[in-house]
Amino acid sequence: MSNREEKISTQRNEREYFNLFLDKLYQIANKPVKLMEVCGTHTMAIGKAGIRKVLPPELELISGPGCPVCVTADADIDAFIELAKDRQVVLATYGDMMHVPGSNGSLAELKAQGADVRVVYSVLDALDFARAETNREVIFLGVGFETTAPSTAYAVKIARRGGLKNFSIYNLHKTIPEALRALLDDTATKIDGFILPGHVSIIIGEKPYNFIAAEYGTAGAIAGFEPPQVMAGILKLVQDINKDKPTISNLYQKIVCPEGNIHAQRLLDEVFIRTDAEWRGLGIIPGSGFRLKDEYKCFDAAVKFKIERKAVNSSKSCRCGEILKGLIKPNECPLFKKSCTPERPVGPCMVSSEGTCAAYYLYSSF
Amino acid sequence: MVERIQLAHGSGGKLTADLIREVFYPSLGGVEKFANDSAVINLPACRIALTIDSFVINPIFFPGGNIGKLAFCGTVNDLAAAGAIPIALSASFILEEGLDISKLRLIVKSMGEISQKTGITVVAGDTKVVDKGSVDKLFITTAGIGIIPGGINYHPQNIQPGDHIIVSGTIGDHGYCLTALRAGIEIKSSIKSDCQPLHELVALLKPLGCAVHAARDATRGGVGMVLNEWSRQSGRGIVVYEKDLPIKDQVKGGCAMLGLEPIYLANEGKMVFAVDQRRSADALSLIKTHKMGRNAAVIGEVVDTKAQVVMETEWGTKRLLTAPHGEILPRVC
Repeated sequence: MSNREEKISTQRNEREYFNLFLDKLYQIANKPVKLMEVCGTHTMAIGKAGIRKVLPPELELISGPGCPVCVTADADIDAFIELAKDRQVVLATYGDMMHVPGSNGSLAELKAQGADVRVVYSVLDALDFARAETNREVIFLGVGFETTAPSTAYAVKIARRGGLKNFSIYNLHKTIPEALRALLDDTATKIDGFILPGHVSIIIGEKPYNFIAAEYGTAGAIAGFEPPQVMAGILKLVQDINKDKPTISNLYQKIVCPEGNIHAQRLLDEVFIRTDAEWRGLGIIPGSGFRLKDEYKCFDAAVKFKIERKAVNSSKSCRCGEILKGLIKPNECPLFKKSCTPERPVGPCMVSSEGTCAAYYLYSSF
Repeated sequence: MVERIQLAHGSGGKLTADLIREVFYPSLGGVEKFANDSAVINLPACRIALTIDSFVINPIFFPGGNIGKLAFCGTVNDLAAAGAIPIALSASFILEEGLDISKLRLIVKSMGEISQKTGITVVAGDTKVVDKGSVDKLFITTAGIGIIPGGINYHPQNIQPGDHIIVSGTIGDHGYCLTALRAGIEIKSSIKSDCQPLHELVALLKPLGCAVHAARDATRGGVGMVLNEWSRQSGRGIVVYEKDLPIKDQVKGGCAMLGLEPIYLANEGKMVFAVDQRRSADALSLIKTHKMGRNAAVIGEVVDTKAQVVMETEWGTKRLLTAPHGEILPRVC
């Protein structure tokens, strides 16, 4: 069998699974069910595979706060943009953050004016800049959930060990389980089940989600990102909800082990302590952020450069908050596809490739 | 010691003359005593295609090519997309002060090699040198002219409902190769840029005449961009079948990791055609006879709906395939 034939036959198999799960869903979907996919990568995968359009009408799939760019607070956006204005500074960031609009422009606009903003794929690139350009201050924008936080922790540890004086991080890392608790505490959001993020779960394992079922009686399923895996997650959630036996199930066992990545967890504990964090649209969520421990404080850009976060009086009429909580769909926001587009985003949800609004914009109906 | 470009290399004086004589003429075949302000070409009375393109890429060397080969092929392919037989190119080099001359030599040499291979000559050139930091190493602009044979008229406005969309080979190779290189991902895979001249492949379709309605070189924005442009220009809908897209497994896997879609990645040696469906099988077999067209496939068709591009996914669902937005940036996680 040639490679080409082999490839096609695997695809057929996967498609059969996809259809099998979908058929089963149609058989058992008998009441309105509202599910939230927490993770931005799931949002994108669902959009790309056109899943929303083919689900039984009883099922509503809403997008959650799991896009790191989207949940970055306006005050933080303004703060790191301010940092980048310093001509001594090299600001290293993951690509998604380039176009996030602050009160006075974005990093991309600042770069065009001459600021040294560099897109990196790994925090280790930022460490390399710091080693190579000792006369510059390299600041890494630490953004992302439990998935990217360990690599930032690792970089800080290496920087300390190597005595790097010109490296620091602006820390925006956040944690998913605390955000889910905040959503469940919000009486306006009525979510029957969560499709739990595969990548975050690789780090934290299964246990941190147990409260979802135990305390709130809500179902959860850790799922992978291939369309049949997403469909399997949806099916499992609906089965649990129908049986009125909410559980947390792990459908991504090949990748996610129950205890998670212990090494990464230790690294997080070694470098960070938990703190409250502000999420765009969701407000302050207790214990949902990371702060560098005292012995690593000299690597905190906010401390080093005495950055004060200024509360932003957002006059933007974008409804990111309600979108991130799943209260409204992007097309219910008055700005969607009008004044807010991927070319001219008003809110971060339209910027990131994982953003709910961007996903709706790119993959919307026709 | 490394020989480097100095501002004086662009002064128009002796150093400029030396640079042209030593770096450009040997590779591109110029002869000093015939040099003049313009190249003069005798052409029969015919339709002429004229194009120009600038190349400002980073990195300037990549697996499968360099900025010089790219500048040559890019312009040849733009001519080919008009159905033209490329006749001659001109090339303008903007060099950064301090550029390693041995690198420039390699770049010009590869342009010379491909010129010899294709028989398309660079008949006119220009060099300028700018202060360090004013450009990134070097920029190349190439312009080209070609003759359009009788009976050939490739234009998006010819696109009709029922037309088949054919792509000449695997998509996204060049874009993936460069993105991975910039990302610092070690490519142990065999993925190279597909940078190659397509004029011979396109010329194979000449017997089909105006049954070939349109052709476009799927560079920046990839096949996704071409189809969106065609849909808008022709006012027709286009349906793409995801399962039929020829994509190398390595590109597919790597893109999934980086959060990229191969259909939006740049190609530097892939042509997209819209062909009358009655002749599409003939077109496909003709393309496949060329070594650059072995993986060619029909990937979609033009439909009588409003101007939009719809992807039928490999899962049997449908979604809009919009035009790509802005620069391609990798995602956070």
